[in-house]
Amino acid sequence: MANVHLATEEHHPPASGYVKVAFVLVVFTAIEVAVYYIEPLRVLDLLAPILLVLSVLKFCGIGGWYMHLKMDHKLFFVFFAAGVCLAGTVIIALMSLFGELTESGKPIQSISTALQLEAVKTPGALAYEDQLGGSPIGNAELGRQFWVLRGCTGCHIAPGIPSGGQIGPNQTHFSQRPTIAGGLLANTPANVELWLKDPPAVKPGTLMPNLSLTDEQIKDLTAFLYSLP
Amino acid sequence: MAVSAAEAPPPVIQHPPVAADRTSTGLNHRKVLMWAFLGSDCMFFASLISNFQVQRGRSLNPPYPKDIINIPFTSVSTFALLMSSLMMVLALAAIQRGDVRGMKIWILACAFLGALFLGGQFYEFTGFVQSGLKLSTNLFGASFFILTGFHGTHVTIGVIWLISVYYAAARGRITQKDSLSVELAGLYWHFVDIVWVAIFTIVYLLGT
Repeated sequence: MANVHLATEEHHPPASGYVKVAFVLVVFTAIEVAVYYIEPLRVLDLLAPILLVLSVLKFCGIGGWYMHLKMDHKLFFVFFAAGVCLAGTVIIALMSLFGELTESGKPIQSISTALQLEAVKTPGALAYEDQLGGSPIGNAELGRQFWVLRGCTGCHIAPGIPSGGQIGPNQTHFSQRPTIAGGLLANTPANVELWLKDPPAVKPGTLMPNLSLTDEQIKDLTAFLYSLP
Repeated sequence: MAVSAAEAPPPVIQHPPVAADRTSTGLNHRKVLMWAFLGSDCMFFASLISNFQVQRGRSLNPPYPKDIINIPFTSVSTFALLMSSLMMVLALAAIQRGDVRGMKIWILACAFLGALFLGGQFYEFTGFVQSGLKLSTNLFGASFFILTGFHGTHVTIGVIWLISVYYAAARGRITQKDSLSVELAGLYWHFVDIVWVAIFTIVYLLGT
């Protein structure tokens, strides 16, 4: 076994070094908590960057000194760094995919959500507003955003919106249906609002849950549904 | 000029070259395995943190994070966990210089702080349930309990591991030459701490 050897030497810091690192970690944590309560930093959108930088520094402090990655064999560092990098990539990728980094008010301006929202701007929405004399009962655009962001696509398909579940009915040609709620109610805006307010109260046992929507959200969703081609 | 203990050169640790250590990499199998596990465990927590982030702000029913999360209380828990990591490295330093008694004291202190953290988490979870937040209440409840609950499970395993090391040392089964056993327990414990650093920032400070 010619290639067998042992790389066992590690230079660990003295106990006083560990105490210094602990002191720094505690100070950083105290700064994090203090920063959390400084309201102007929230307003200026500086809270997240500051907290993330402090968090990374604490991460490096524990990994580098307490876990001895700074002094230990490089292979251990490679193992851990690979895991951390892959984990970070997965988190960022999933957050981007689900619009967490891309919605208004989020760190990065819209990419995927904007594309989804743009994809469903249909002539039907204008036609519906025209039918109501330019005074829609709700804002179809806001209803469409609500539909996408709150995950209605988990159960329903709506034309023009990428992806959609099949647990609930497909909402294509919604305005042309004679009835809603499984044939229980005539398809009128008032009945749609009644249904969205509390589906189980209208039809006990329905899979559609009570989403505790506000009156405004209900009106917007109703407008959106009638705008679908 | 006299050199103080704090300024003394760092000790050189020699793990004895036993047959079990012989590998093609020249590194101890157990330590390589532990680091490989920790690297893979990062992915485990990445999936749970991603889940929390993706569901953030999408709960339709109260209670919402801002209603119930208590930052001062969790800050104290975080302090306990950070201090436990200090106890852990001091335990390792003690066993590496042959001080078994010192190692036992530090490792017991570490386990105590870990248990204190777990007690805090139990208290926090109980309060949340009483406030109406359960696993099935809303997306926040589901993602929060799963993420912090799995971290708590890791801490529980860590505390059991630390107590096991203590008993092994108490029975004379861990001496200076077995410092690697303490080091491996320490690596796991520090990983638990490092994950909490991320959770505290993402879930508690940024999530509210």
